[in-house]
Amino acid sequence: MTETEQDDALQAALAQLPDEEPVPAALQARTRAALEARSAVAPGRAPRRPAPRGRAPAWAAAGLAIAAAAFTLGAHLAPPARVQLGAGQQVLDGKISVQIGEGTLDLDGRAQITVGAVEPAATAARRAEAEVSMSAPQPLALAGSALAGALVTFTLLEGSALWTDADGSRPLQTGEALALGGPASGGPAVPSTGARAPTGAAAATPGAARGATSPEEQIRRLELELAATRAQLAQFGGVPGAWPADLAPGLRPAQLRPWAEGLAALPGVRSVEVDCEEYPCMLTFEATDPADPDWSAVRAALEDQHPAVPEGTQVSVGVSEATMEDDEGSAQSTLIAWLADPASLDDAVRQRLHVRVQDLLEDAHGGAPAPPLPPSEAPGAARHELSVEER
Amino acid sequence: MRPLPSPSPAPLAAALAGDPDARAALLEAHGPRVWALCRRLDPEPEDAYQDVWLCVCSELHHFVPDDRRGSLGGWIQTIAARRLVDRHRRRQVRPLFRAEPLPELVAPDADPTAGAEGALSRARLEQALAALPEAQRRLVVLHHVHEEGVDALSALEGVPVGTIKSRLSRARAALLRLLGGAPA
Repeated sequence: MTETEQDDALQAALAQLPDEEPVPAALQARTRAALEARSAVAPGRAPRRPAPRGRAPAWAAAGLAIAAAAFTLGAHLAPPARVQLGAGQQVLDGKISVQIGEGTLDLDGRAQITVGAVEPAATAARRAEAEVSMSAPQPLALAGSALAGALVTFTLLEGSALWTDADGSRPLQTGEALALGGPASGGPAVPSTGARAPTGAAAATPGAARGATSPEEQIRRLELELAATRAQLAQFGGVPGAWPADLAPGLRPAQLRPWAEGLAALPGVRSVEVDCEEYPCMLTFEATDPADPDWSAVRAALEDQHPAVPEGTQVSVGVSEATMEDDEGSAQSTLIAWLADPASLDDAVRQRLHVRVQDLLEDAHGGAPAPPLPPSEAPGAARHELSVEER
Repeated sequence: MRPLPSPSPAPLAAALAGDPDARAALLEAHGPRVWALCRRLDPEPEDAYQDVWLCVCSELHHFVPDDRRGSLGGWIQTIAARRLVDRHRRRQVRPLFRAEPLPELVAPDADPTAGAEGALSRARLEQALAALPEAQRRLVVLHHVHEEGVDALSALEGVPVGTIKSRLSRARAALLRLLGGAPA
């Protein structure tokens, strides 16, 4: 078959792919609830409501457990929409006022809200279940008692947000995260800010402890901030896991490292770095010609895999490529690869892989941080103005 | 492919007014098409799906039934595509993951367009599509699966039509390589 015929056949096959797919019922229900909650109209600030008790939380469920309840449109006497906010993430969009503890966050734009746990999941899951009331102009009130033991993080995605508490008002920057971790005893929420989630280092500030009345109280709050920050780091960065016990020898550092370092001799490769600090080993290749990187030899070698991996053994190979250019036109092209046992690729390993690849890319490109937003939206976040091309 | 559903004015007005039943009807009618896009084009499709619909509902008052797109379905698809592009640009410095073993994707001796019955199997094609870089995948999916014209893609991507055509050609070549066929 000629190339043209292959291309024609491919186009015909693509045209046969369905352009519609059934939406998972749970997702459709969540989306409907989110739309309903957003369109809720009722006057006045919503009263705080006690956290529901005795309900099973949705901590283990992927995504967000959010469901609208007791919701009536149009009637000005209608009660405000109540949204059950379980552990997980949701995006707030619009002009929204969120009241947590003694502070208020006024959002005009988009923000991501994450409800997580400071304490071990099983305990905190019940406490993380918070009740949100929403009414025009959509103030949200998270019942303070419901936040006990939970870590609530707002990350400003776009627009503006103003955090106001007893210490005064402070605007949030785009990409900035505001972490609010409540003590298990049901005390007030404790804010900390600075994390550029999910890629930046979480940088809890001691500002929250300033309002504490005694040194003991300050220490207690700082400990809570530390716990909140650790929870954030674990949430965004994952935790290195153990090497699988039955891993093929060819995927272990002793055999993989020398083999990988030998790939530096392949055409198109200027250098290779091998990181086996944790499982799986990560290989970072630099191209000899960043303007037109040729990774075919590397890819072929990765497909062949290490000769010490027994024939028939399944190996997952992950490959990420990035070409970055600084504002002076200097380009660098990087390929990052890892080889792992497919059976070992659980969510925790994947999360770590994601973070490690991102860190390696930052390291490979002059240490400039990889901002989650374009530089124009986060001035000063990057040392160079980066443009990235995924190939 | 079935034709894009057209709205009648009354439900659209009700949806605009925030009627939950009307919005639910919009979700039912157009959700599957949006979901197909989100699932193929976004690494977090469920989040993208909600994001798109929040965007659609907030922009609904901009929809003009007799504009050149001509249908609410087409308009929603455009909104969805733009939203997915925005999401992609936000995370563009994040690398993509391909956990699938490459050897399963690449079968050098195989005819990429010939399956057991002479047709490319859908599963294999979807797998190869998923392995394409996001920007290429978006063009291929929008143009070849969702029938977006190159003019619309040119507006979406902010590049000339000729660039879209050459990118589409390169994307298909990459897809063929992933399927184990065409030369580099």
